[in-house]
Amino acid sequence: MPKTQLTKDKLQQKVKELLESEKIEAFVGYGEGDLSLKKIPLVITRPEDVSKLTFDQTSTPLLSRYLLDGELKDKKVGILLKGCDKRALDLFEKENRINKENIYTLGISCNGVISINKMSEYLNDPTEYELNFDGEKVKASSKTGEEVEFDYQDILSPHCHICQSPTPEDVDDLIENEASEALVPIKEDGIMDSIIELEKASKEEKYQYFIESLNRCRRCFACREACPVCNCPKCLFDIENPRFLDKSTEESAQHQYYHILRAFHVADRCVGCGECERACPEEIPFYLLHEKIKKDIDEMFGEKEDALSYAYPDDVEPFEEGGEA
Amino acid sequence: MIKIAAFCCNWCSYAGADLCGSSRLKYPADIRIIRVPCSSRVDASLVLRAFQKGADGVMVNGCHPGDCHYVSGNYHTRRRMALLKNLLKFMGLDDERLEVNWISGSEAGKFQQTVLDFTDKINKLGPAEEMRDMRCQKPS
Repeated sequence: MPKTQLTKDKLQQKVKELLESEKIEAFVGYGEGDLSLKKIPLVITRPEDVSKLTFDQTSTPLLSRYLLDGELKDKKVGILLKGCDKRALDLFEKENRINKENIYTLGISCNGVISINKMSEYLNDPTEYELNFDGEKVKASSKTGEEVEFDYQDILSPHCHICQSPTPEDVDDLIENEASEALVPIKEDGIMDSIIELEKASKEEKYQYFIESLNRCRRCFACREACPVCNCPKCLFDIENPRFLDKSTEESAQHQYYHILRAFHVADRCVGCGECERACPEEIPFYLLHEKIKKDIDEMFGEKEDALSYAYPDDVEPFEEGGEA
Repeated sequence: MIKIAAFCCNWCSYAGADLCGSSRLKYPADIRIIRVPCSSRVDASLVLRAFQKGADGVMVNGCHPGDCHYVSGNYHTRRRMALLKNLLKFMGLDDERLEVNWISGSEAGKFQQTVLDFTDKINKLGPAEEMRDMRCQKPS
């Protein structure tokens, strides 16, 4: 715990200085939530409130989307950014949705976040436990005094394994996370492996796999709400006339419709934070869909960002050989 | 009898289909032509909705690459539909039921041939139950 405490102290010190010097009017960071394994987004405006700020491996929600609308828009705001969060902020800037001049970016080197879904493989009710991070080991202790120990790598979110830049680049100030040295995530290609494996499977197996997993969907839209880049002012699925998606959770066609379209809307802008995977109560592996689109974009067009916003004459021609005219 | 939804772009493929009719070239009546301003108007949502509501095959027809009335519309179609076809295949659905063709306004013969071939293919595959919204079926 002391290492996490060190990071927390540094963070609070920096934010206090920023607020006292009136460089920023508000700061967006993480605070303690009601559940032990979930940090919540927290906005503070007074220097005396900085003690509420915290950061550790359970700080999952991405903060950058809170700058898009509401009270924080057009204010001088400081924000705590992990690597993925910075990529999301860069995307918003590119889309002219935020004014970078108003934003003070405080980066923090991230060592991955944990996935509660993965923890439930080891524990019955992970939210009953408190976590202690100690090097490569994690100790979970419940209120009744029960203690379980496991490897940090085993409960790390799958997306964090393949994160290309856990430390944000081009930030105004960077906090070195003291714990990061011991907990650097290994670069193991878990998601890509499962995609390649699925591609090789037979048509029936693929169909069965996706029907089984997508049909668990309760249409709670948690994946949409959690995703930092899925933030149209008016969502296609909320439109009432015409209704694109109805409330039926019996029809597999409706599940396919929702998940394919969701994947298409975010795939080329996805920052790879893995919030969708962590937010889903049914553990649906639908992130496979947009990772698959990302993989195809990479293979066919050789660029990842905004690939569905641009198209060029010399793209590959998959439909007609020789391509007349 | 199978049903095919054919999205035809206003400037090339629809004109091609029109010419096909006025030249008295016969093609199967299984096809329902939907005129769209440009083939890039067709996104994943329209294709999936067509399958849900009873189409067994979907054709997206546009101008030849380089001939788009809006300069770059069909390049967008090309990217989007290539990705959609790959994704459908990845999910174990029949990606052959979705076809993209480039047909110009003067290619009445090509339009006829494409429709004949595609109808043949869909007839062999049979009805598309996997992507159908079953509430659209008439009670038997």
